[in-house]
Amino acid sequence: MQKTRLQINYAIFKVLYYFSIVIGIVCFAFLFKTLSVILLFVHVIVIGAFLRGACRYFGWVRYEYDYVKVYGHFIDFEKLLVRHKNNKNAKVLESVVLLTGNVANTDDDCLKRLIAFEDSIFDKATGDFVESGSLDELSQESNNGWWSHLIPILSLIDKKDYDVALKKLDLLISDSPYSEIPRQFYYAYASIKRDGQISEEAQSCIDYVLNMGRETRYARYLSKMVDNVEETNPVYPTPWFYILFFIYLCWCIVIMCL
Amino acid sequence: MRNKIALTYKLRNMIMLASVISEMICAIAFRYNVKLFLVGTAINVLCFWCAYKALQYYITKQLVHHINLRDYVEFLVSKGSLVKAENATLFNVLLWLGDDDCISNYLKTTGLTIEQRIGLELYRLDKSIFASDKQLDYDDAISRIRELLELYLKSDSENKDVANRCSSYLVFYEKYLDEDYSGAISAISDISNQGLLVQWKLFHEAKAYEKMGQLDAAEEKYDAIVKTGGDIRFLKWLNKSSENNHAKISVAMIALCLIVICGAVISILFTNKKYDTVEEALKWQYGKEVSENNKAIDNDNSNKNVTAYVNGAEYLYCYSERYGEKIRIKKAYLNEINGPSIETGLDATSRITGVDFAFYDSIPNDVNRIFISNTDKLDDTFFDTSKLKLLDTIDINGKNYYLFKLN
Repeated sequence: MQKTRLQINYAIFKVLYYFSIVIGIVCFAFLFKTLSVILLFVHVIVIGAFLRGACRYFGWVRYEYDYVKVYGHFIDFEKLLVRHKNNKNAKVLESVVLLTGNVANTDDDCLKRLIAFEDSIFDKATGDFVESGSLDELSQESNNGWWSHLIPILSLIDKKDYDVALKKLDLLISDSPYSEIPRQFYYAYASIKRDGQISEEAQSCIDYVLNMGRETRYARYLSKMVDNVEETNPVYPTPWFYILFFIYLCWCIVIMCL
Repeated sequence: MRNKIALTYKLRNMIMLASVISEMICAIAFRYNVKLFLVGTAINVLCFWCAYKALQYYITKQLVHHINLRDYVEFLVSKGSLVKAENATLFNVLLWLGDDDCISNYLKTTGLTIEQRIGLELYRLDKSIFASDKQLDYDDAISRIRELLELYLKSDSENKDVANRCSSYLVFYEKYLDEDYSGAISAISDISNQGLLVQWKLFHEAKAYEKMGQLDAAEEKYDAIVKTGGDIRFLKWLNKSSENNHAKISVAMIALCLIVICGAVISILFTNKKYDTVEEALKWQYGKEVSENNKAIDNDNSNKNVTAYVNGAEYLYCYSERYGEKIRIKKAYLNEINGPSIETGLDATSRITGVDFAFYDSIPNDVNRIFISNTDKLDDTFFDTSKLKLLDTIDINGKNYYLFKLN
């Protein structure tokens, strides 16, 4: 399977990160053997910790944030999360699965059923018909995931009660793309269905879903609802933090040569 | 680069990176001189911190005092990826700027927090009332903002000041739309007179005065807005354009840049600087003040020089290399640093021996193993005394020291 850009950078980051720890220890051993200057010892520890911390938090964490939450590459992120599946990222993986619709990557039955409902409502061509009564069952069964807020709204949309749905959606706003993409899609869908045309507010939601949610199933639903969908080119962040590793490496080599 | 805010930001990043690199060079250059090491570190850390703070101060100044909103928006848009705080500021600035195209572009890629949503709704209401924009259902808009405000107050990120201010705005709009203009003015009288809120207050008071027929009072307030200038949306709505308003580069940032560069250059020069005398070299390289009078050994062997100084119980050995007329110390040992600790109960001779071993460890075998002691009765526990030869006895500051050669 071809590695994604995120996976490659994650692997490089990990290798460089652990390599920098090893070279830091080697550098320390060199200092211990030859120099015995207490200030330089402290310095090696402090500068090493600072640069590694900067690489991790201002480098990799920021890169991942940009990659996923700014440029919306959810499929790549999902692949990375599946490969490094653990309890810590289980919740994030659920959120990403909701967006991409790859139900094979989750064990949560409620989430799988929610996706099936959405498919049946928004994508009549491919989605299997699901009885609307079971949506209320799902609402009761669903765990405390943030997406459980979507179920009552989905139920309202299914019942064609668009005014109430829009009012509820208005109050669900968030700056996180995980919840904002489905919310804005629901808003656009309910608004178009209610008015029979695309209002300014709905257009703003459509633009958001097509931009941020380019790799999600919501964009796929929209492309079937709306004509003239413009393809946006994917943008990727630059992993600038490698410069910090390079500087740290140079510094360690200089220390070893002293 | 036309946008000076972007230039200042890049300069800030370069200063922060340069101060880290400069700190590394400084640590290597002054590794034996504690005082210079600490001074260099303090300067670099200070530059790093000042650069971080200076940008915050500069941006606040550009936004609040000079109201260079357009430049700031251009800078953030060109930056691409933004952190949460930057996104929040950008959206706020876009609302003050009143640029609908930029706002709709922002909404294409970024979701809004409740606070931002309230701001957007208030902006649309404001524009609809005062800029003769498309008509809104005012009652519906106000009730929607009230619902959002209630939600905001229940959220974790609620800020009482923001909520109170938004409530005051709503009361103002309601009273203004009900044609109770004096009530509208009193509703916003408590809004703080800080930053851009002053402009907001002036504009809305002026509009209310205008409706009340107090044209002089209104004109006075309009003049105050025009006089402050900047890119604020109220000027656009009044059809008044401000003078060409572009940010200037931060002078503090240039000064910091020069300090860091100078610091780095000085550190680089120090890493290989040669000195006229051993005493001068010791002073700068090791921060040790020694006098020519305390010199006990000066063993010049071609271009490798061994010098020792004594002062009471302290013995300083140094090994320097000669480059023509100049000298650079390669290693220096103070008995307390490298010798066995005094607490171990060993006498002075043993400590000298310890220093001696450490010292000669890096000296080639062909150099005469000469060392100094403050006693001629050396302890045979540490080395074979039969191989020792007393070369000379010297008197330094009234104390006798003995020069030995180890065969």
